Amino acid sequence: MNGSFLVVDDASESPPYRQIVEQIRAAIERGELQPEMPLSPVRQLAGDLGVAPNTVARAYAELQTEGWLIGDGRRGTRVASQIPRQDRHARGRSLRESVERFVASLQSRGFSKDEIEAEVTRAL
Amino acid sequence: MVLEHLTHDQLAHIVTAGALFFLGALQIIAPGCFWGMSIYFKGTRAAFSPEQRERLARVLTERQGAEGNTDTYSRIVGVFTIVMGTIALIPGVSFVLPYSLSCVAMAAAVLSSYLQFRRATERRVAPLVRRSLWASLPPLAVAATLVCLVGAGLFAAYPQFRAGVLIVVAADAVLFFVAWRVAVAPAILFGNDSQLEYLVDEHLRFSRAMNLLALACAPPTVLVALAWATLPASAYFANAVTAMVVVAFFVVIATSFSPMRKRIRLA
Repeated sequence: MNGSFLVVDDASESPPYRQIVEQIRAAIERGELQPEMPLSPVRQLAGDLGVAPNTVARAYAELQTEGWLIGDGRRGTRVASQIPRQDRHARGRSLRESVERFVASLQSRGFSKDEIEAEVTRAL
Repeated sequence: MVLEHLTHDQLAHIVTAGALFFLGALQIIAPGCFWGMSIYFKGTRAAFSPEQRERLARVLTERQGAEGNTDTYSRIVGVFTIVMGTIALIPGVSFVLPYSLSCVAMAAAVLSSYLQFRRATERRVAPLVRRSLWASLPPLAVAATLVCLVGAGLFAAYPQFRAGVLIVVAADAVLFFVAWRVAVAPAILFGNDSQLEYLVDEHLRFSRAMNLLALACAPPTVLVALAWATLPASAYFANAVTAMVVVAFFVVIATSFSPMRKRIRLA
């Protein structure tokens, strides 16, 4: 067993299916999920996370559409043998969107640009 | 020897009462013996470093807190079983009746523990690994359990055992059902030490499922053996069925015993 675990955060603004999509994608990019590796069946993952099966099915469907996963009825859902190439651009866009959401959230709580910048620099 | 003057039926009463007294006392003194948690990690603890033992203790405490305490169910059934043991000593009362009622009580306690376990914690962390039912319930053990239950059920052909046998088989079918549900139950992880929580979950899933299979096989085997002893030696059907049930029981025990002692290992 490698370190691949999914966490659904109820407090997050992001819906559960989106959290699942982003975490699986990140696990594939980090190499924690190897090509051809079988993933948990929809019902098992939904039961473990305490979400509706439709939520997991939607996340898997989106990842299949993007080319990260392969759905094969008999063998279940697996990681694609190759990470989608065109996604380098999408990855940059995803990072930009995440940072914008993060900054907007902090600004709405009253933090100034300098404070955010200083803390992000320190954390990095 | 006093035993030489006893009939098979009287001996069956005494053996049943003794078994029920033992089981009742066990459930009162060690209420975690059939559903508990820490008994499955004794070997693991010994192999761990002090830091790892501390981590394991934290994970087990957290899990115990989420699952809740089921000792009360076990203790109530323990008292009931001892009462049934006393009833088994009353002449004129079939030994099958108190024995089968004890099995029903045990099945009810296990089912209650399972229902409490099902409600454990609002799950929000999951391993991204496909689990196989057969990893927790080896097919050989499942097949042997079915042979045990069906074999015991065949003793219902004897009118004097029919009611008791059907009750025992029904109660142990419930245990078999709970073993299967435990094997396919969602993982219980909290996200504080996911790696160890996952290992504990897998170990507990397998150990509990196998323990329940063994528990589902033991009562029908004992009942069949006791009933068989009261039948004439020429009862070939009973001889064959008893042999089949006993062999199946030992297969389940052999399948469950060594992997249950397996230690979990941290990377």
